[in-house]
Amino acid sequence: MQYMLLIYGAEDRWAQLTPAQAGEAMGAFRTYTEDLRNAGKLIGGHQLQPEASAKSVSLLDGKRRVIDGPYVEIKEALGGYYLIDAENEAEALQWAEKCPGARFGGIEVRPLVPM
Amino acid sequence: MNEARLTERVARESYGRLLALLAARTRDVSAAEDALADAFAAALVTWPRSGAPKNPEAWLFAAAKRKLIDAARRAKTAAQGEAELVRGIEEIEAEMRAGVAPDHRLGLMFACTHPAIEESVRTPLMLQAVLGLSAERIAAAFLVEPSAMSQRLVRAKKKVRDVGASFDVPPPEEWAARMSAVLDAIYAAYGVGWSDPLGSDPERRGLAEEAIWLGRVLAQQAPAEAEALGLLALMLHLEARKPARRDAAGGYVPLDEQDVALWRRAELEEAERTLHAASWLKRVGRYQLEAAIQSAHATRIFGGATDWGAIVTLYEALAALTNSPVAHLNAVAALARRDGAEIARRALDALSQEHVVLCGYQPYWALRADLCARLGDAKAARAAYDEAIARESDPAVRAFLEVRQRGV
Repeated sequence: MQYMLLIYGAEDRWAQLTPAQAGEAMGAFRTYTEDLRNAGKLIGGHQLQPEASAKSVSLLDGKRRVIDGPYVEIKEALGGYYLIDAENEAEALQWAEKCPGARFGGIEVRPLVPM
Repeated sequence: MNEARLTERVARESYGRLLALLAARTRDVSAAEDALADAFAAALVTWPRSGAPKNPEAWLFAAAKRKLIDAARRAKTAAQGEAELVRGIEEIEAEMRAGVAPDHRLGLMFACTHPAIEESVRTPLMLQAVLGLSAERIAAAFLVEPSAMSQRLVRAKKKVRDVGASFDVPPPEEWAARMSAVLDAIYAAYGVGWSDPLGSDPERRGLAEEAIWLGRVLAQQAPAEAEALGLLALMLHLEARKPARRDAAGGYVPLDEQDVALWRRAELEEAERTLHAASWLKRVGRYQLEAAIQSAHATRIFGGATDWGAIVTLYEALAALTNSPVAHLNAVAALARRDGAEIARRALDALSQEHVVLCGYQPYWALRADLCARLGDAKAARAAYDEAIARESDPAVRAFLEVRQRGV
């Protein structure tokens, strides 16, 4: 079963880290990515540019409209994702728990619809 | 350029400086990359959100410090004590904070183009070491598998370490040859993706911007090197015309027919200033001549006609300097504009006998076709277009040649 680990966190949390903390956090992500890869669980993943760079596209009224930003009122923004292959939900949750992003905010775990 | 791109640029600029500084001490590019990888990744995530720090190098150094100490610990010799090692790192850190750390990027560029490094990997190596581009990004531009590019880069870095490639600037007797290797490697980066000026294939994004960036670093580090300025001027001239090189439908537009209103004025003017500065150094070379040729074409933007006389002279000088058949060919093309098709065709006949390799070269046939058509020799023109079309891989240029052929 494939699961999406969506990493949510406060955008400004990164900005508040000292350089040494930021370096260590990045190291933790790298180690985590390696662990996933070595366990044969990693399918893909990426960091996302900050929320401010986002655009929203809507075809709601039949016209294409591109709006700057999703204008999230919530503090936590999607910062990145991992797509993993796990036996079951319990395993996916275990991986989510190990993700360094869990310490910065939270990880949403969503199973994919098999196609 | 948006905020995210700007901060990325600052991050890459500081990364290159820091990497050069570390690698110059150890000659080990891979170890320096490993030590800086997390700090660089953290900068790419953090800075777009917080803004680039006031002293980016000091920030990166602080983020990498623990790794640097670990790396130094692994590499330390029996003679070095722990305290000495930490002191060494703290010295660099203090220099960073005070903004007085030396910039070794020129040395790094020389190391990347060391004669022991295979020519085809010099450009990728420089892009990775100086600008911190990933192997994936470089592989995509060079149309090779990421894993293959990775392996090549790893081997090249090992070679740099094994041959002890010096990060010092070369002695005077080697200077010219080593500098020309650096220039060629940068220009090769500019050429990647040239046939896709619209960047319509995102997987194949060219490296023009990155090449100009390297050119700027070089020009800034070696300001008395006329050819470094010449190369920068050349790339800026070509880049200024990029928006005009294809029409709205993606069709090829030859230089003569380009809409000068589409040329980017800021880049063009910077190119002119840079070339002017180069001319003060009074050491002419291949790149300055090529830039001067572009400059002669650029006069159109200021309302003037192209000075074909000057272009012929410049191409002849370039041909005399390099003995490149392509330079000779271009001289003939300019001659056609100055003295007419009749004289040019005679020159072309003579040239093709002297340089038989030209018969495998698309622009030779395109020029021949054009000259024959202008002289009313339709049959020869159509046949030459056939030869040109068969030798062209860029679909936009091929389509252009086919239209010309039908017009004969």
